Amino acid sequence: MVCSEVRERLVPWHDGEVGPSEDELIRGHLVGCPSCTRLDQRLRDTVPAPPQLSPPPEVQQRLARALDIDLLLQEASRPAPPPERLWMQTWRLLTRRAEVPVGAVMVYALLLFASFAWGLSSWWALPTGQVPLDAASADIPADQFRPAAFEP
Amino acid sequence: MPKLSLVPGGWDVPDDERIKQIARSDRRAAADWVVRKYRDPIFQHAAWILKDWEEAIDVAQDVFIRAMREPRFFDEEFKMKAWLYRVTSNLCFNLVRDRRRRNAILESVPRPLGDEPHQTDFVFAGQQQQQILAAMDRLTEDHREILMLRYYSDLSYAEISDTLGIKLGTVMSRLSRARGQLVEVLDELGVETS
Repeated sequence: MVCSEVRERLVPWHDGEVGPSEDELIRGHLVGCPSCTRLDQRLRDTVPAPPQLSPPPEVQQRLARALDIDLLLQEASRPAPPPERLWMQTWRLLTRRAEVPVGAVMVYALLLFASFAWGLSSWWALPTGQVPLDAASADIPADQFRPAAFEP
Repeated sequence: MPKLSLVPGGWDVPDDERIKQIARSDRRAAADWVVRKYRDPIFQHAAWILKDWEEAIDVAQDVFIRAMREPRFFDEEFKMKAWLYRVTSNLCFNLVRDRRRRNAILESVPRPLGDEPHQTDFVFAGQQQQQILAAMDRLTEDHREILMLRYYSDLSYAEISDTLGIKLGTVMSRLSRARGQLVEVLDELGVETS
């Protein structure tokens, strides 16, 4: 077992969630790897423990009232609110782990698409086989054409 | 696992399978057992994520109303515990995201002192756990969620798998990465281990 594999298994190993063969491999690796042994110890020292909650009496009373079975059944018997619309679900999904402004990204994507579409439509607008001419030389017959540099 | 003991004791809590059996003859009684059994864990889970009593109460109420509207809730194959935790997590993290957006908009507006009267009051066994909680706030949502389900709500790997709808192997790797990230944040904060 290599270090990265052991590190992925240390927490399940602490929780007794690995099989006997894997248990042996992890123990064997830790004997000869000071780096993984350090992480193992650090993980053991930083196990999160649940903080105790101490709600004040008025909160406990309000909770008891809010979770009264008759009230809950009465609320449940009312028609459920309409399910979230597809666009709202999509928006939630888009904004779920957004680290950058989603709106800015969407505007940028729209502009990118628009410029691409404009370029594509210009290309399609050309007649087949015709090469775009330079605007300055388009109306001059080929035998009369003289570059400006030829004039004395 | 701390006990809130908001509900008077003195009765034996039936397991989920027994509650499903009760539901076949008396759906109201079964719903009553579900609320009695899960109200404290669900309220605690919501309070740990939201850190606000009032919002936690509203979420807990919403979760049980949704449970009673759910036609499959007492079905034989239905995993009611995983469903309750999943809905609670989703509602709470939606609220957290809404709150974050709202705060971003109102960032420039100065907030009067004592404007958050419903903030929860957590009691810790020691200073290190307070530092761990502060470090957990800096983790990604996925990592924070899985750590809370495992270490605060004491869910098994199989229950976390059902709650999050991910494979058992993914639970193991995500949990390992979350703990690894937690250690990194604690190192950044210069928190010494005991």
